[in-house]
Amino acid sequence: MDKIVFGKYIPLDTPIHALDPRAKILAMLVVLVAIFLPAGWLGYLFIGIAIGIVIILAKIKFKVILRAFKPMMFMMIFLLVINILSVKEGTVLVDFDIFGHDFTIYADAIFDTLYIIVRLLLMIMITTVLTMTTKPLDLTLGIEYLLTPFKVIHVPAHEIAMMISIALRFIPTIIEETMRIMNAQKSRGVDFEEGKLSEKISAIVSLIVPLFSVSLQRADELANAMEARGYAPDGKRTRYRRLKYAFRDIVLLGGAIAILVMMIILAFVI
Amino acid sequence: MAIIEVKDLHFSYEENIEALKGVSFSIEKGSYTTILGHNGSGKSTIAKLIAGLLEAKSGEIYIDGQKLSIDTIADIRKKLGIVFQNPDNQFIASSVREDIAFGLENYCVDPLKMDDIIDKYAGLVGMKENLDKEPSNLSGGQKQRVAIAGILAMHPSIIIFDEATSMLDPTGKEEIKKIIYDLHGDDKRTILSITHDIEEALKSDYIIVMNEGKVYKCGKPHEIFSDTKGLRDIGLDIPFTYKVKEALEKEGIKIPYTDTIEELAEVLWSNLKA
Ligand SMILES: Nc1ncnc2c1ncn2[C@@H]1O[C@H](COP(=O)(O)OP(=O)(O)O)[C@@H](O)[C@H]1O
Ligand SMILES: [Mg+2]
Repeated sequence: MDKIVFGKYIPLDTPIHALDPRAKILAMLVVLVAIFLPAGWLGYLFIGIAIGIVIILAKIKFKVILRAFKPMMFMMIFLLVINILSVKEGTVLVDFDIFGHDFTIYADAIFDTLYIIVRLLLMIMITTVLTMTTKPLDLTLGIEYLLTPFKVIHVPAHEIAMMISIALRFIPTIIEETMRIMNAQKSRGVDFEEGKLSEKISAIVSLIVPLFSVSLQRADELANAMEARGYAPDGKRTRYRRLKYAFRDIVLLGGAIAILVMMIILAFVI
Repeated sequence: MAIIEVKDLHFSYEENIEALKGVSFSIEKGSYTTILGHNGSGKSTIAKLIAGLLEAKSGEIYIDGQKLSIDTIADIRKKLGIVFQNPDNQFIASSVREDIAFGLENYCVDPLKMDDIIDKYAGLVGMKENLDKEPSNLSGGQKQRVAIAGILAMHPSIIIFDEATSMLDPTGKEEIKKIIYDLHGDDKRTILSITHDIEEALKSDYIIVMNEGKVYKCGKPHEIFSDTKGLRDIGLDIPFTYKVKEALEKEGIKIPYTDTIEELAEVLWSNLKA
């Protein structure tokens, strides 16, 4: 279970936790744009330090952040291999001969890969900080508030937020259900770990089919319960939870914009 | 006065298969009515029709004098709450607090007043200490209590329970049954409880027995349960005290109808003395 929830919200009393979810989402978007600019190593170092400060303020252990990198490992190695095979520029680092084939590794291959990896890691760090310091419900509420102006161009802000929050609400229930069905199928002799590919596929099918049918029934019953309690997606509603910007949110947004401006300067002016 | 009146309801989920084949009954204001019937006899379908979650093919439903239709449905829903069977599938929000607030939000209650309302109704169902808990950290009985609190917060005069205790463990069942009795007894709410629990039916004011999409019989508990043969034929259980009376009658001993084991013991004791 631990693997699935590396970015899970941890309730702590820190200034980062106390920030308005809208400010956090906006700041994240601004910094993500900044990361996409070709600002060079100096720029990324700067962003890294800024995120590091936020991580320290949020009292998140760096160990946890490292754990968030793990699922990306495979992709990074894959990227490295692709780059080594395709990039043929820069100084030659290694040059050797395998069974008569000439094989060269260029410095740019390593450099380009690192360049992408560093950006990826920064992005993972930011999103992890966001999800670890913000209640899922606050996140969806933040998304809803931020999307509300786009209603004029028919973005269904409330529906999107409701969908996300129901999905978040039912993730633990569905994981529990998956375990239950898996155990039931195991006790009937279905093997999820070993066996031939065809056996594995049929094992997965034996899991997915009941999971789907139960989930559809759940959805139906949930819709009934919501309707019975007066819910109409397009109806007028008030909101129990209200969001309010505070001074610290302005500081955060100011910081994020400062980073973006700096990256623009580094990328295009200098 | 009838608060719920159902006239000749027909409903089908699939063409040519009628789930309800002409159902009529009426329920008195402030009464505790139970609906009995085997699985698939159409009990939940009736509940959903009354709550306006399904639309009848033909027939009429009157709630508190108002005919149920597209125009009145919003009004009627405010008067009527429904608690379903599966505790998980009616817990909408991510915490107890937010879940009770869900209905309030839908009826545009002022957010500043919500905390007081939430506190009050969470308190009524004994969930005040758990306001910030997530559904995955609550027992089935606790989730049902939250569902009840969410409904009570809307002040409905009718509450429908569709097998609301059937998925709970014995402790959870007792908790919820007690709350239902209190809602009826203290607050004079109209309760419509769909159940397989005959002891609950025996204590209710009025019973509707469903069989294969039709009303088999309506009446007071002793009218219903004295028809032991008929009930057995449609696959329903008989209360213990009625079984004893039936067995004694076979032996030629006549005793009056009793509803509880205590009453039965008393009757038997006085018979023995005589
Ligand atoms: N969503 C559905 N789709 C098709 N048929 C249904 C659906 N729900 C119930 N039914 C059928 O309608 C009949 C009555 O069901 P229901 O009202 O749920 O019975 P009860 O609650 O008494 O067990 C049953 O035969 C059932 O199979
Ligand atoms: Mg049912």
